[in-house]
Amino acid sequence: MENTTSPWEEWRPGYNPYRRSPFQILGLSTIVKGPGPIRNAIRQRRQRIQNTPERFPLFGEPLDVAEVNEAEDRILDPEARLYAELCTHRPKLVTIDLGDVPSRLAEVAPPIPNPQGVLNAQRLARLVPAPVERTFPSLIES
Amino acid sequence: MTSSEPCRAELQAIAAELRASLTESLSPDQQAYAALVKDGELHPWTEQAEAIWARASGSDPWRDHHLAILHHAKAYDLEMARSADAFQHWTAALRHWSTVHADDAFWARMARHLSGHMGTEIPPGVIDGVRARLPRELLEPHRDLIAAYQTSNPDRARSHMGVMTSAPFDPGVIDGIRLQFTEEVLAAVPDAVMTADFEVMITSLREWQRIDPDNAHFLRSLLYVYRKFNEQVWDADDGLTRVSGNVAAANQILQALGVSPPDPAGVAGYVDRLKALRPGGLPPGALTAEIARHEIWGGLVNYRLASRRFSWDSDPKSRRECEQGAFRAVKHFAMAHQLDPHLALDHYYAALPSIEASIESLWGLCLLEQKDHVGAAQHFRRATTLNPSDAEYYLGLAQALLLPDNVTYAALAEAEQAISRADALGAEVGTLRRSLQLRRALSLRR
Repeated sequence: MENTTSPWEEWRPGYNPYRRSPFQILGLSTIVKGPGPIRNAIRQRRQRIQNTPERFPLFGEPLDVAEVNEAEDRILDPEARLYAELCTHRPKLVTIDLGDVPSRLAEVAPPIPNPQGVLNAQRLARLVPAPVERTFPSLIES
Repeated sequence: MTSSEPCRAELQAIAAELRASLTESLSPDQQAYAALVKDGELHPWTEQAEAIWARASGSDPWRDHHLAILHHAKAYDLEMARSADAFQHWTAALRHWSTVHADDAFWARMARHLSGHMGTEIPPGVIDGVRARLPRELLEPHRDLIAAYQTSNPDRARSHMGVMTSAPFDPGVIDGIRLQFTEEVLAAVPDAVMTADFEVMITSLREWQRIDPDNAHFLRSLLYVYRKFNEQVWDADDGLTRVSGNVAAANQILQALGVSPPDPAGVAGYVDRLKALRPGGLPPGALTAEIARHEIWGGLVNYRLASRRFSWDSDPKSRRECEQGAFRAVKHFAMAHQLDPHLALDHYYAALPSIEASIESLWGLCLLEQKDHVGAAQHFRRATTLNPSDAEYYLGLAQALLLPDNVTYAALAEAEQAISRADALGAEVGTLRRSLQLRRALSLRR
């Protein structure tokens, strides 16, 4: 990719290079491996941004498809990707020994519906809308 | 209690156990990373993550990179809010970036990671290129912020300058950025001097100097503009007042930087201190030569003040002031010569020896009036050496030599020679010749 610019090259009011990195725009982790999975993830992201941008804001700011496309170019270019990596926290992979938690979870009894439950008529009545007063024009000519 | 309560209680107990077990098994860096997640998003910094990393023990190969991102991102956010707290995070970020930059293992890991995850060969030079450019690129926002704040918020601009110049990167890189705006500012100097806009240029340079106080280029240009200003106004009616003001202002600047010219004995160390001023890139000796010229103006001011104090019937206070002025003038000139031995090659200062001769002669006259004939003779002698073509100095020397009650033969011989030189230069020497004859007759009688 030509004209790769560093994320710190110039000060732009409102721009924080650590809040708008290509990985953040694409919702992609730096550890997604191989061109296939990366492209799939980007395709899915682009689709989502295209269809329901309001559901996928980045730090409260909406994203658009043009930003996704530019971020894709960057993530697929070695130098631009290196800059993106430098602006991204390396994920901490954690292996946790869950011990007997799964078996204990399996043994937890599901909640039982209360068999003695009765409807409270007064509460139920409060849910009914109040009757509306209606008037009808007289059909009989006087 | 409903029948779902036992189930909820048991799940809560398991969750608490899991939380405790996670906290126990996670390293501080993993805990801090987890603390970056807020409202479902991975933030570049959070107060909680910062606090965990601040008290983290042990080591983690990525910790400096995490901290570089955390502090840098926070600095950007705080900068946008014009917060004074931004600077400590700018400084911390550059410190951690510097460690990352110097860490060969970090870049080797990054190279392996890139080729492994991109599924393509990384072209040679990509990693090294980004690594080499990193320090300069990290300093570039400060260059822009300094320019943006220069007039609106000079204190903030100065703080950014401090962050930049104290960054733990190669001084050559810092110099490079510093020179970018230095050159932009100094580009206006030649035109300002040409059009005699000295005061405007001095104001601009002093504003910049407040932002970048020990910038050798600003110092040199400021002294240069003051000098050109002095050259322009020296012969005006108020020349002495204006030049005195300029010299005092320039002295204050040098003093504030801790580079006031020392006594001539300390010149070697002084020149080394000037050479150490950043940013580099000045022609060798350029700053020293400018300070030498500043010294000349200091000398000229003192000389003019001293000569105004002198008259044959002046009071002792005026005589003392005259002598002190001449003393200071000679000292300034001596310093100037030490700093720039080629000063006389500058056409504007080609007449320097004759000016120095005048000062020596003035000093001689002061001493002659105080009946210090030995001292007076010394200064007139120096005046004749500095300017052998002015008869007045020979006359002064002869007078100083002949006035004492007891005149040695050597003094008589020197006086005769001085009178002959003055005669050859066309001066009226009749009285002195008669005085010489009288002295000779008196000493022969003794």
